[in-house]
Amino acid sequence: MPQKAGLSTIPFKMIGVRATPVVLVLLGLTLMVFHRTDALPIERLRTAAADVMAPVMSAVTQPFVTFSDSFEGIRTLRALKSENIRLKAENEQLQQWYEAALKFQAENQSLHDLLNVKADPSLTFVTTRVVADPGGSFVKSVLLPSGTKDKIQKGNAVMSGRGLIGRVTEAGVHSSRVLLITDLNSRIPVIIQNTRTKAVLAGKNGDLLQLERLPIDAGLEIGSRVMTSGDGGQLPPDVPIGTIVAVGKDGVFVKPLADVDSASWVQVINADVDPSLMSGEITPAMLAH
Amino acid sequence: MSFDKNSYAQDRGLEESFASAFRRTALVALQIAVLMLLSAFPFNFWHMASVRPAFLLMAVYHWAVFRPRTLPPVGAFLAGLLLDLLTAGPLGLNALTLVAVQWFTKTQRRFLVGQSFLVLWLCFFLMSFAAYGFQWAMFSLFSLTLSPVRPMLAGAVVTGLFFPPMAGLMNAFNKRLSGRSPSV
Repeated sequence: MPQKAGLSTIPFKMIGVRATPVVLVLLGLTLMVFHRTDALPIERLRTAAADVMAPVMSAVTQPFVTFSDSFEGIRTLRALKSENIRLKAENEQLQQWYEAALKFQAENQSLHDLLNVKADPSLTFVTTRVVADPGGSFVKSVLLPSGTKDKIQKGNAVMSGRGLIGRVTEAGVHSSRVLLITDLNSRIPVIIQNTRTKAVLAGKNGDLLQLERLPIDAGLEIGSRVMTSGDGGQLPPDVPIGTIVAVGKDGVFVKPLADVDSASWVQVINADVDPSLMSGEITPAMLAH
Repeated sequence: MSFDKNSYAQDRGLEESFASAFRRTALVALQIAVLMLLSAFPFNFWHMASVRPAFLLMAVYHWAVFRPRTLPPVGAFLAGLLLDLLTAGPLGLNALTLVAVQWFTKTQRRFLVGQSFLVLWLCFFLMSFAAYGFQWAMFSLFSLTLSPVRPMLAGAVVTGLFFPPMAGLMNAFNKRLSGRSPSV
């Protein structure tokens, strides 16, 4: 059978075919080393890839979201009447809370003025949908189809439902990657509401989060709310995260308020991040009272 | 079974028309793209568990057993690299894993091709545990901490359990590709 390759190139061809997996394995290892040592701009490459993928995923998942929403609509039609009654009662109660809140706000403002405290800048949100959840067993992250063109920056807090679910680690023009609070690498400076104790909330790649860097005589109770402390200037303070569910010898565990793994609609708090504190690490000195 | 000149020629390392090779590559690329989409799909509105099967691993294993030339090591590497770019893990980890799986499975091909589906599945289970274990080790090394073992085991088991339906789909796809059964 006549072949295109000449006789002299056959040995090279055989070696080439045999050596390819070895070369690729070495290439893979090299890439990992480069990533670890920050020798290549991996982040920019990843952001560029996400910028391409996020719009695609957004378009692909849109029909499913529409279908799911309409399905949900049909399901709730049956409970419409009882839901209506319940909502009216809740509305009346909320109206009373609203009156009380206005009163407290006025009181708070006057007390602030007395103490000469500078108010937090008003927070702005960007509401968007999770379009890709490529995480897997080892990394917990999601992709959003909004990026710097929507004024989202690296370090912004991301909330869903009732609490914090993560923060933005990479922001492209049309996409941003969010590292969830349950991921192993996630560390959030927090404060416990009742006792005003400061600590660091670490993800453990599971359902619960663990409080680290606690003072020895912390005296924490189950049910206490955990919120961001704002230390480090990256996340805005007083964003609710979760409640303490277990206190023991193994450590103190926190259950997130929001449904971290199944978040679909999220809000990114794109408050201005303090640039001078952006690159700093959380040190024990910062957590000291 | 119809005689397909191109697949016959391909399996015997003979010349293949450019159009046929292009068609083959395009179809495999499409399959990989669909599987990657499936891997990244946000199943949040159906409240699925956070563990999901590694579809690309199944594809690489399947092709390596039945038609190694269709998804060569370079193809496995590129697919893994794309997956790495999608996830936030170390760049090159999935690429490395898929190439290693393709390579090892190809060496065992002679034994695997003639076996029943159950044996194939069992070997895939072993491969899944090996791949996940390798990823766990690399991940721990990368972050210099001991990663939790449970997500790794859960992932390996779920991947193994999803193999039969995926293998069925890929067999059907294979028939489309060549016009004859892949286990011949």
